[in-house]
Formats: sequence, structure tokens, C-alpha cells
Amino acid sequence: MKKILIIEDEELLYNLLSKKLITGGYDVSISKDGQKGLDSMKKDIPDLVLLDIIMPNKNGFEVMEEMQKDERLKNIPIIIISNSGQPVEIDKAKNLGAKDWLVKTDFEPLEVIKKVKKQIG
Amino acid sequence: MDDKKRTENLLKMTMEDLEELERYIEELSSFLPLAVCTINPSGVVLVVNSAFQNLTGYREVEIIGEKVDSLFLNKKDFQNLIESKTLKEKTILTRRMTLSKKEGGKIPVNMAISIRRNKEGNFLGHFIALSDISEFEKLKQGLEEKVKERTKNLEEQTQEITQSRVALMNILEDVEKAKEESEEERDKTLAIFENFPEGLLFLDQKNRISSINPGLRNFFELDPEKVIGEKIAELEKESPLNFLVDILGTTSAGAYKKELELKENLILEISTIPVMRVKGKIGTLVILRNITREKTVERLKTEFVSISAHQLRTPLSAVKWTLKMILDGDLGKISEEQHEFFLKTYKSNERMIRLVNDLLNVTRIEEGRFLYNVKSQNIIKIAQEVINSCSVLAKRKKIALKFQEPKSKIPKVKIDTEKINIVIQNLIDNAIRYTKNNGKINISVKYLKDQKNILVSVKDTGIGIPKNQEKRIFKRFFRGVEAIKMETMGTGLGLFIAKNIVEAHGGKIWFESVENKGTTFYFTIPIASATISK
Amino acid sequence: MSLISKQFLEEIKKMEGEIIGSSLKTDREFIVEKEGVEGLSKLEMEMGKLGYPLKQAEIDKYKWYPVQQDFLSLMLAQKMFNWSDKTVQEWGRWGAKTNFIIKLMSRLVNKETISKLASKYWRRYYTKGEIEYKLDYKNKTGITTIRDFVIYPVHLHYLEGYFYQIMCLIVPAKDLKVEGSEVGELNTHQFKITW
Repeated sequence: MKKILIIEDEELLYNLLSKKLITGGYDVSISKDGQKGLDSMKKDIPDLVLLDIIMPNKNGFEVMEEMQKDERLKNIPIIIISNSGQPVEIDKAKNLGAKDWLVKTDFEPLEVIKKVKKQIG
Repeated sequence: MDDKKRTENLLKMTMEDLEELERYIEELSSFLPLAVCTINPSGVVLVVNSAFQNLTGYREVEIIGEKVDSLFLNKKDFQNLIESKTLKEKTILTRRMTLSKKEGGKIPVNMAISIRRNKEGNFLGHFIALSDISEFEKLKQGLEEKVKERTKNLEEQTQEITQSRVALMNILEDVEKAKEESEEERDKTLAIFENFPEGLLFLDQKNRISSINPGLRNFFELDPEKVIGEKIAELEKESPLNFLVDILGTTSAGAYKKELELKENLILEISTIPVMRVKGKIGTLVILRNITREKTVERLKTEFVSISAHQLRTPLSAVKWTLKMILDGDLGKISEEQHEFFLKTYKSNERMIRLVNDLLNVTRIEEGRFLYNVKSQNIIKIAQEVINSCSVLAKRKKIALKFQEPKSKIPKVKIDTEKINIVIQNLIDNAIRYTKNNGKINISVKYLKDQKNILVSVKDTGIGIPKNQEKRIFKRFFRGVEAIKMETMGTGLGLFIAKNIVEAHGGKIWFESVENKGTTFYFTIPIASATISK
Repeated sequence: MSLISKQFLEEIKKMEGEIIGSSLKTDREFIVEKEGVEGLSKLEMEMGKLGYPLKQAEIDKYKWYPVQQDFLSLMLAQKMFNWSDKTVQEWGRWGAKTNFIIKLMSRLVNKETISKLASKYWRRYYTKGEIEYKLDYKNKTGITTIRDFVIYPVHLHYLEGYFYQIMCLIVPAKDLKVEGSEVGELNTHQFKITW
């Protein structure tokens, strides 16, 4: 079973998301802020990270930057789920290893799962 | 010797003397080149010399005994002269007279006249000397005429010169005026140049630094002396103006813009503009704008938008996801009635999301003057992506979404991918929205070679756009009456944004529509985009 | 056939008096003027025939010659050349213009002096004869009387011209007229002058 790490600070969202993911047959772990997320993935390397940008304790970019520095982490596929989505940021994220950027209001959970599927099956 | 003989001898001697005297007088008289005559108190000619005879044309026998005034044209004049007091006082009086020659000719003569008196002082008559001054007068007249002619010529020349001078003065005045005006202009220009709040640099045709303004020195430490006249290529390595080298190659092309970060707090935007005159390019104007603040503002705006987006969207996404999961039954079974209510709420929320999206886009499009990240792209790929993402929606309404790719390979276009994405998305969204179930939507991409454009069209079999609303289609917040009736979630911003994006790329957007039959939207993107990169 | 009869010639030969050479010379110059050099030659030849040869070139201006030279040449000329009285008058005027004596005299002649000078200058010409000159300027008339002098008609006309010319010196020539005539006494002639 593939492991998905959700790094998201909004409870409602990560709850809904993880529910959907579990239904979709994925193993889900949740971290509520950037640092916690990094610690978590270091301990247990996920198959994919669903990463929010605006979070306390290291934002999404910082997380990605850190991941890039770590050999073990830098190749983990990342899908950004955020409510911002300016091209500057998207580009930056893509340069840091993000495979996709999904704006929460434009993508419902199901669609998110589809994207995940696309990435890792 | 007796008396008679003596007397005879004496007489003989006297006669001989007399003869000698007479001969002398005769000789003298003949020699005298001056015409002389003796007149008696009555004015009768007594004696004339040969010169006199030659001059007057009269022989001795003809003139002796005649009145001398018959020789002159103006007899009265002569008479007055003879009687004048001045003559009596002076020894000689001269007067110009006109002589009537025997054969009729009249010649000017200079007459000298003097009174003769015997040893007792009695008046004996006059001596008159005449000299022919006709030659002299002819010469004089000739000279006078020449002088007159010369004077006339000179006057004419003077007049010409005066006229030329006047004309020249006028020209000079005009030139002065033009000079003043040009100086004024130049002063104005100079004033503008000097006072321009940004940095200005003027390069001549040979890319030498011709002038710099004070504004430039706000950015760089410059010694004008070292810099002016220098060719850019030959600037010192340490020269702060070295960045100009990069733009050298671009000065011949059209306007050019580039950002230059000097320090953290100093970001400049360099624009180069070729300065043209009738005779061709005379130089390049380089403008350096301090856009640090602008960039900061932009960054802040971006951040603001980012944060606003986030702030606005967070609740929206939360509602969206929750409602979706409810509607999907992921959070438990719900009744039909509940489903209906939740669905309405969901749709309303979706509208809100769209509005926020559009507002965020508009803000960005409006305040961002440039397109972001213009890259050469294959527009087909982008179109395909959008179509794919819309397929779900289309399928729900059972609308057939077809993509008509061009037969041959088309060139890439320089576009802002995300933005063009928005445009195509918007058009297809509209097509889907305003087409009833079981309709057809055809998307095509064509390469118009002679116009050097890519043409994208989205054709639907929808409700169409009424004639009276055509003009307002691209306006902000406009929604067609029928469109509203369909209760779809349009914000009225979509086409407005799409138009801005297309036009920012240098393209055009338009449509053709027949009510209740369908609408086709077209837009073009030029191959060689004239857009400016950021 | 001679122009002058022998008898007349004898008469003239008896005359006394001399004439100054310059006058003769002047008179002959007139002949040259009118009849050319050939005319004068002819005259001289005739004069020679009459016993009074004299060539123009030989005449000494200051010498005295027999008065016959004058008289005869006057007569001969008129007869030979068929001169009118008018021409002879002209001759007289000529005589009063150019010769040496008249040049001397004319300078001195004026209204006041003419009467006094007349006889003085007559003597310069002729050794015989007396002249009296009277002029009335108010009435513009005058009389010249020559006494004790033989004047043949031709000479009379000559003198008319002569005096005319003299008068020209002092009065306007416009209405000037000189008329000579014989008067009762022997060898006395008068010239009436009006202007």
C-alpha cells in the first residue's frame, strides 16, 4: 500500500482528504505543520507528499527546500495543495520538485485522489 | 650828306624796323594757337589771327568789320558780359560761350576777354581769346555720362544690395528666430533631460556615451568626464556603466527592456529606445528607472494576493470539500431532500469560488503590466490539457467535446502558459455552460501562415449571443440575459480577463454568433510576439 | 584794242601823287580773290602794256608808287572783268579791312576820333588830296569831303565801299548807306553817309 503524507494545518481539510485517500486505498499520515512534516518523512519515507504552502513552522517552500537538501527526500513526488496559486509560486514549487499544484477551491478531494493516482498509481 | 638824304635814310630805317615789327607780329599772330581777335568799342572785329579764322571758319576779310557778337549764339549774353562791371574791374574774364561757325556748326568755346586801354587809360575796345572746348566738353560729357551710368549702376547695385541686405536681414531674422526656437526647444529638452527624475543616458550612433543626466548619478558613482565620449565597449571594467555592454547588441532593434539588480535595495529597469530622425537613427536613449519600490509593491501585492487568496479560499475550500463529500455520500447517507439542499449550497459555494478566482485574476492582470514567464510553447499541448480538464464537465451535460488539431506541424508561440490556459479554459467553460445538453463543442487550432498567427476557435451549438448584447460581451461583469436565466455560475469576468490576456499577447479575440444556433469564439496569437518579457 | 584810250592814258600820266604799296597789294589780292591768279596775271600784263608793269610779289608795302598804278588798275579791272559797281564797292570794303594801315587805324577809330584821324590816315594812303569827315550822330548823317583829288567813277564806287567799311566800325551796319557824288568844285567829291 502506498504511503501518502499529508502536511496540512487545516483540520477539516486533512480529515476530508485522508478519508478520501483511505477510501482510495492509500496509507495516510498527517503532519500539522512544516517541521512536523519533515520529521515525519525522515522517519518514514512516504511515496508521495501532499503539501500545503501556508503553514506554521516552516511553510511549504521551506519544506521543499529542506527536502531537496536531503538525498533520501529529494526525489519524493510532491503535490502542492494550496489556496494560493500565483505563477511565481507555482514555478518556484516546480523548481523545487513539486509535480503539481492544486488549488483547493478548484479541486475537490476526489480529483486530488485522481492526481495522486496519476503520480504514483 | 644833306638833310633830304638823311631823312630818307632815317625813314628807310624806320620803315625797315616797322617791317620787322610787322613781320614779328604777323609771325606771332600766325603761330598763336589760341584764337584771338581785337574788337573796337563798338564790338566790331578789327584784327583776327589765323587760329581765330580756323576756329570760326571765317576768313579775315569775312569777319573784319563785322560785329563780333554775330559769332555767338547768345548775343545778349555777350553784350551783358561786355558791359559788366566785373569785366571793368578785372583784367580778364572768362566765360563759356557757344560759337556759331561759318558752316553752321555750334561749338562750345571758352572765351577770355579783357579791356584794352591806351596809355592815357582810355577805353580802346577788347581782346577776345577763344579756345575750343568741344573736345573737353565732349570728354566732360562723356565722363559725366559715364559717371551717371556708373552712378546708376551703383545705385542699382546699391538697391540690389540693399534689397539683398533686407532679404538677408529677413533671413537672418528668421534664422535668429528659428535659432531661438530651436534653442528654446533645446533648452526645454535639456531641462527635461536634466530634471528627469529617472536616469537618462544618450548614446550616439557609434554607441559612445554622449550625455548623462544628474538623475543617473543617483544610481551610480560617475565622473562625467571619464564617461562622456567613451565607447561602451571600451568602458573600464570597474565602470558602473558596464551593464550597458549587454544592451549593445540590442540597440538596433526596437525598444528593449531589462531589469538590473544593482543592490538589494536598488532594482533598475533599463529601457532602450532608438532615436530616429528623417535621416535615420541618430542615437539611443537609455532610461534607467528605479523600480525597487515597484518591485517591492509588486512583491507585496503578490504576497497580499497570495494571502488574500488563501484567506478567502480557505473557508471556501473547506465548504466545498465538505459539501462534496456529503453529496458523494462519503460522510453518510443523506436523503433526497438533503441532497437537494446540499447541492444548492455546493453550487452557490462554487460560484463564490469562481468569483474569488476571477477577482484574483483580474487584480493580477490589471496591475501586472506584463505577462509573466513568456516562453515558446506548443499551444496545442495547452489546449489539449484544458480540454482534458473540462471533459468531465462536458460529459456530465452529454456535450461532445472535440479537438481539431492542425494537419501539419505548427510553430511554437511565445506565450504565458498559465494565462493562455485561462483563456482557453474560459472559452470552453462558457461553451459548455451556455450549450444545452447533447450539444457539440469543437475546438480547433490553426496556423495562419501569411498573417503569422495561430488561430484558436471554440465553436458551440449553444444559446448564442443576442445582437443587442454583442457589444458588451467583453465588458467586466457583463452577463447575457439568457445566460443568467440558465442559472449558471458565471461571474461576468471571464471574457474580460480573456480579452486582456489575448491582447497582452498582441492577439485579437472576437466571436460570431446566431441566437439559438450557436457561438464561435476566436482568438489569435502572433507567432513573433511583440510582448515584453519581465 | 586797248581798254583805255590813248588820250585818256596821256591824261592820267600827267597826274601827280603817290600811293602806298600796301594798298596796291591789298587791292590786287581782291583781284586774286575774284578772278584767281590768272586774272591778276592778265591785269598785270595789261598794266605792263600801258607802261606800268608791276608784279604783286614785287610790291613793297612800305614803298610809294605812282598813283597811276592805283587809278589804272581800278579802271582796267572793272573793264577787264566786267565788274559791277557793287563789286567795286565790295573792292573798296575789302580795301578797308585787311591792309596794314587800316589795321593800325581801325584800332583807334571811334566816334570821337574818326574825324581827326581821317585826314591823318588819308595821308598814309595818298600823298595828294584832302579829306574832311563830319558826322552828326543825333541825326545819323555824315558827310565826307575829298578835295584836290581826282576821282574817276570807278574810284568813287571803290571809296563808297571803303567809307562804308570804316563806318561799320562805329555805327550799326543795318541801315548804313554811303553815296558818293561829284560836287561843284573841281576835283571835289562828297560822300553822303546815312545810317
